[in-house]
Amino acid sequence: MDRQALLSVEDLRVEFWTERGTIYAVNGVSFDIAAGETLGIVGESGCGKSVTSLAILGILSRAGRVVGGSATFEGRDLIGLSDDELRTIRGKDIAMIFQDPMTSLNPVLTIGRQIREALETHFGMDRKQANKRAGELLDRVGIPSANARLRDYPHQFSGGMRQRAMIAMALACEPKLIIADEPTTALDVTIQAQILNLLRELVRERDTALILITHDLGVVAGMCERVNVMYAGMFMETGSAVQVFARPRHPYTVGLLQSVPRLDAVRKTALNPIEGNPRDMLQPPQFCPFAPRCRYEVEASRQEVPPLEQIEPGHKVACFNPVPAEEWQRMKDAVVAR
Amino acid sequence: MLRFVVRRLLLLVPILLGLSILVFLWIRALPAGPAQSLLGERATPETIAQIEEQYGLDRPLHIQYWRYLKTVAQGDLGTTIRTRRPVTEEVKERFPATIELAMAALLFATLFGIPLGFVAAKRYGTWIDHSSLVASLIGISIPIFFLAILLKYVFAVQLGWLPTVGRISVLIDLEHPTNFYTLDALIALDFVAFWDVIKHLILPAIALGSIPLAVTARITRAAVLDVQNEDYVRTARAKGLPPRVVDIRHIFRNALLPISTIIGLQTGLLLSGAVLTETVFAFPGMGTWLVEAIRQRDYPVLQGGILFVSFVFVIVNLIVDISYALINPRIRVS
Amino acid sequence: MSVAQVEAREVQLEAPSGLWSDAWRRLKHNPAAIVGFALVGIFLSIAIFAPWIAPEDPRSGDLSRLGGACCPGPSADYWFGLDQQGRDVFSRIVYGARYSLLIGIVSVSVGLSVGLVFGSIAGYFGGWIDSIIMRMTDIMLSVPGLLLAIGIVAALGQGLWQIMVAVGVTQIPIFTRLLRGSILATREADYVLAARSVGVPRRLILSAHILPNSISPVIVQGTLALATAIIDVAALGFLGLGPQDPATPEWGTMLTDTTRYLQTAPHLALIPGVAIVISVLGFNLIGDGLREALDPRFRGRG
Repeated sequence: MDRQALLSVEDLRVEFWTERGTIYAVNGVSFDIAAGETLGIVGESGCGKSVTSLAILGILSRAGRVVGGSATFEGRDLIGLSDDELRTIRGKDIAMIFQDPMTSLNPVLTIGRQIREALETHFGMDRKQANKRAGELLDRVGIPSANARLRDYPHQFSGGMRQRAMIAMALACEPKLIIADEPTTALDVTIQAQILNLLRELVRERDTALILITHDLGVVAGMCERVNVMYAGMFMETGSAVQVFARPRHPYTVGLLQSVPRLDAVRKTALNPIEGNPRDMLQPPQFCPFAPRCRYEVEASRQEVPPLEQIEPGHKVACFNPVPAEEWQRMKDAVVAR
Repeated sequence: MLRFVVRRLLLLVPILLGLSILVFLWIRALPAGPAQSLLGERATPETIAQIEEQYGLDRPLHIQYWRYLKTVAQGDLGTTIRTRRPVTEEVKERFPATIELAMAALLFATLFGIPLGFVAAKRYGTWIDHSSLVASLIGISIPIFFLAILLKYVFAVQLGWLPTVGRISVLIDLEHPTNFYTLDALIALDFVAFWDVIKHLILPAIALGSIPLAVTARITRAAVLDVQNEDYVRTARAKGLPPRVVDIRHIFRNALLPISTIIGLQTGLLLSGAVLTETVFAFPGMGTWLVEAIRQRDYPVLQGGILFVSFVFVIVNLIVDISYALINPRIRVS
Repeated sequence: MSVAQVEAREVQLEAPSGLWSDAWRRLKHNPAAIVGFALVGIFLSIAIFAPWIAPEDPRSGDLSRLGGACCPGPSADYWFGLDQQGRDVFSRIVYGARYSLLIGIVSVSVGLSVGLVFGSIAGYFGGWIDSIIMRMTDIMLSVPGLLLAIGIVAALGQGLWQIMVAVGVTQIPIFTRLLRGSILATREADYVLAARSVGVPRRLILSAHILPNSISPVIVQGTLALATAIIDVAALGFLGLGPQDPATPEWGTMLTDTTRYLQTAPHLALIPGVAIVISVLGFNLIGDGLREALDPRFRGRG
């Protein structure tokens, strides 16, 4: 990596205390992101990807605790900071975009008010200045008659427009890093593409770092330079998008890619889901979390947690028996072959 | 918004009509028969015949009802048996007293109930929270009339801090243009009288407001707990807003919606409870008026009183509904 | 170990939980509910075993015991003192529990049975039947609770049965609305739609899906209604509308006209009142605990 890391997360661990027991949501996550980079974090629902970002910003729910690791942002470890100190960073240097814009926007406040809030809090702008800036932002994210719409309420916007408004809100203070948690999952497919394009333009314009969290491989492929694949609160495979999509080495990654039905597959090809159920998170991982569902498991898989190790420059895998490099290509060819 | 108001107003009509039918049928269901009931002990065969003529009691039921409706619509609720005065006049004297009491009780309930509930929610799981829950459960388990008796016993009889009966001290001479004694005192700029009226209101208002207080505290707590787990609160925090702003502008503003609904629903309880509280404190409002009427079988009073109070109740509900629509942008702006 | 075996084992490890067993488990751990059960247990025991607990006949009094003045307070001979007629207040309180129990059961039965019938009809058939029933409910609800009861008593005459029925009638609209709402909600629920789409017969849908889910709010409301009924009947008794025979040991009636004696004999007013509070509190605690225990939102999520 040639650029200085903006955010550097090291061995992050998060637990949730519930009446059923402790949930080990994040079990040793490490990654870096530099200015202007786009990193994708991919995984199923419940694998801990959202929790990771909430933990970094210190906005976990009451039951959640960071029990280990660090998240260094511009030289300061966010994990140790007090809420007051974190507040100067939230919304200003690091901003988040959430999944469901209908529930993520306050229904009793106007859109303009909600955008102005961040500006007033972080820059001390007065109402007029903030309004002007809010109008500019809404306009930039592609909402027609932006200034008039500042006075509207969230329920008067359509789904796609609400998400645009959320993006405007996130951009308000020109953050250095944006974390987008499933930004398009709640939207129609046609709108998804528009929103993603918008995001891509905006981060390019401003050289903003972007962490894109999603379960949708297609979204990642189109947007991200680097991809981290997450399962059971740990990274299974990390690397550039090209590496991970062309030469996946972790059985889980292969399984994910394989389970997507292909348009060019021969008609009678069966669908390939990953067998088994997601891991029970009430136990801390003591061996490879994917082992119970894995076709490639070996003895070591049931004995210890495989460490994330480099398998080619810039490409790491956490596996005792990684899939051979050409395997995925071979599988694709087999499916397309006549 | 306008459509909403109009629709609610239209819904009002069948309810008010139904109410009048209910009361109308009720009079005819009374054991002594309608004429006798309306006249009381002074009934003589002549006066009974007169009433029967006037109300057309020999005519078919729907004609009777039509006549009844016309009289009521003109504001004539009959004549009391005990004092031979028009019912509406006595209502004008008695009703403001009950309103004043009910409003004092409501003020007490919201002023203390909302902050209590809010604090309990913020300190979820701590002893403050648990004790507030227990306290509100005990609160709704205490019958209003018993609480009134207790308060009277402790503060008026034993400690002598507050008066035991009535609305105002007999020693004070005050004009009553509005019959709202607090307003009357302010209009006359008589602050001694004003303070005296307030003193007479304190104990009954606390007794009457005890259950609304408990309910408001619980509902506030529940609403705040619900709202603070909503996604938009998370968004507000993620924007780096100070906790106070999040609490008031995001959490409380939204919690206010269900809270105001419940407060509106308390009016029925306030009106019912007023009957009991007034009895204990000999407070000269609608409550004591109706209770005396039952004891003395003054049916015109009962009929007029119940009809009037229910009418007001329905109107108040309508106002509450409309206010709710006003504070909820999803209804107000669409 | 094959995947199938692993899966089977994983499924086994999850404890089976139905709605009722879950609710019971949560209820057992709720300290407030436990206190509630204890209080209600005491109340029921006193009511059932009254003749064995009470030392005297609650209706007969001996004026000579008063010694000229009213009224002796709690003492070693008379634990709760004597009332204006020289009756033993303790015995009256004990027998009063029977009356309160009777009151609660009768009133709630009236409200529940009629309300259930109308509510189910309205909820299940919908259409104009629903509208009519709802309008009638609205009209009944437009008269504030106690006033409605007073009106009914005026028509029926005064007496214990009359006030029980009056209070029961005031509870009809609540149960009607409750059951209608419950049935409507479950009728339109996705899982009912799913059951219908695979051809489950209507009768079975009603008994296996709609009814069990509609019942829990009724149970909660029934318990709370019991508490309200006891208070409301006591209120009517306090106003003097209850049993015409003042010897009847009903707690509310025992409170009538006791305000005069607050200075000299406060126990006359305080003791019956406390009895009401404690019994009602017990039912409220249970009802509240039930409501939390049956709330589907809190059901087990690993």
